[in-house]
Amino acid sequence: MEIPERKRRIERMFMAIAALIWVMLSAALPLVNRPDAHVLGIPLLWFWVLMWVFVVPIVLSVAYYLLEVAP
Amino acid sequence: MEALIASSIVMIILAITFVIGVLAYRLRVKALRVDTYMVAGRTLGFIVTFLNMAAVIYSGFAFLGASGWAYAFGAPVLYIWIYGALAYTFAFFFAPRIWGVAKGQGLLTQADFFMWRYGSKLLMVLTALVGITFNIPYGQLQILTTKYVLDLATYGVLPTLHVAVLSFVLTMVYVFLGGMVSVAITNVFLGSIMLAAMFGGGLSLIAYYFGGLPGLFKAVETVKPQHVYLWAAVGRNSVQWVITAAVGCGLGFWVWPQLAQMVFPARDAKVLRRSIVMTSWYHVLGIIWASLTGLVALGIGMKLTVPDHAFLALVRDTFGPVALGFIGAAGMAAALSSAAGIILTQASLLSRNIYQGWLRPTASEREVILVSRLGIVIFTLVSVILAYTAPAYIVYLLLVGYTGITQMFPGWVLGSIWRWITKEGVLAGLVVGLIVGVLTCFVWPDYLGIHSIIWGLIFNLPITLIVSKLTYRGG
Repeated sequence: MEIPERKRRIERMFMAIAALIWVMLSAALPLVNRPDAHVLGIPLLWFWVLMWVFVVPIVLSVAYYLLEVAP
Repeated sequence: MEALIASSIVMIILAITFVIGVLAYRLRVKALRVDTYMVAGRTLGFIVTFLNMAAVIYSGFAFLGASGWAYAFGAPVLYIWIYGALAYTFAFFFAPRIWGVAKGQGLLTQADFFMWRYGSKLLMVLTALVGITFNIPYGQLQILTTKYVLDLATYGVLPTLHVAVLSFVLTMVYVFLGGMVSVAITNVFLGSIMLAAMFGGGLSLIAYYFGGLPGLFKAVETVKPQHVYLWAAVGRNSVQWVITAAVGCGLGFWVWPQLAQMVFPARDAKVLRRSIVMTSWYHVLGIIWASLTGLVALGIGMKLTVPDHAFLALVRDTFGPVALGFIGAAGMAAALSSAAGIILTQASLLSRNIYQGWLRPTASEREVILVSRLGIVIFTLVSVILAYTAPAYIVYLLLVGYTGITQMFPGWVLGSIWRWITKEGVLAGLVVGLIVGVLTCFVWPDYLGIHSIIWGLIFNLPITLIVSKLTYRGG
């Protein structure tokens, strides 16, 4: 079955966001592995990972919704 | 009295699970066909697909091992948070594609895909054997996890290994009867308990002792400052180990044959996609809070001889026997629900791919179900014997499990995307990847601080691609 162009574009956009998440949760770790740095009282490394891990379900929920409503 | 209360709650939940499993078979299975037995006839709706997937994914290790890791090592536990998140972003795009192929071609197991895609019996049998072999220690591990749970939940008054084996065998009775239908419906119950326990237990312990995450990390930095960052040049506490373990496990996550088989039963691609979104929520609401309990134990100065006891020991000392019984039951649920999925998958690979696909192609539907059931009995017995004897070599299989399974990634994932990936390429890559994976597991463990999964893939991927390019003849 042919996937409509709009859905394909949404899927590509979210694939790019997913790739960004992969980079932030892997390649970026050496930059945030600093024992002295804290954000909101949480060590930067833990805050960074926690933030991006929480971003995942939000991004996927939005992607699911947009793919569903796309004609 | 405390032991009686906690043990009773655990046993009641085990009994309810058993009744649900048997009732699911009696009420939902009208006619037993191979596709009903292995993938519930591809009829599962959103809630069942979601909770079934979550219950199989989050095993006893996720429940107890993650908090144990946080207690023993600190920051390296982040790799568990990361690889789950990476795996869901990947599955959101990949799983509906593979589901569509499975539905269209009538595939029931992961090895079926290799047969259909590459037309190679050798590859089908090899992937089925890899799937069966590397899952053997996981069945045994679930029994031992149940034992750990019972050790604490029963305050040591019951013969816990015998009770753990009994609960494992009871679980396998309903798997034997109803196959995927029984597994999926009981997993709705077990998956719900697990989420409530991980989220509620983890959050309440953090709030009770420290009032929130800043207080928790302040306490950990006072007790063990090196636990909040990755301090080593090589090894488990190094940045490169966490990155490579997270990326490797993120890639290998959906290559496990039992997860492929949890994808196939979805009613349609929309149900599957929604289930993956919800499982990603399950990840952030469940395992993160469960693993942070290891830091809570560390922060309050709890001395543990077995780090994996962190979560349950905290609950026992803080909230008493009722909470312990409930959280213990959830830990047991995590172990048994994963065991159910693993044993069913092993039995399916045995009957569908090794027996029907290779040894006896003319086998009838009835015969395949019979061999599946025989497989459930065999793999249950193997797990029970290993749990009692616990031979040392089984640990090696466990260590190399993720590395070995992930070597099927090129054939499973790239083969579903690119037409020019050939069986010769996949076979060559798989064999070389397995050899390199074993070497970097045991001879040069995680060489240069890089996880053995990645070492295997570093050799496997280029070989698969190059050999495929050379052997692709078009069409």
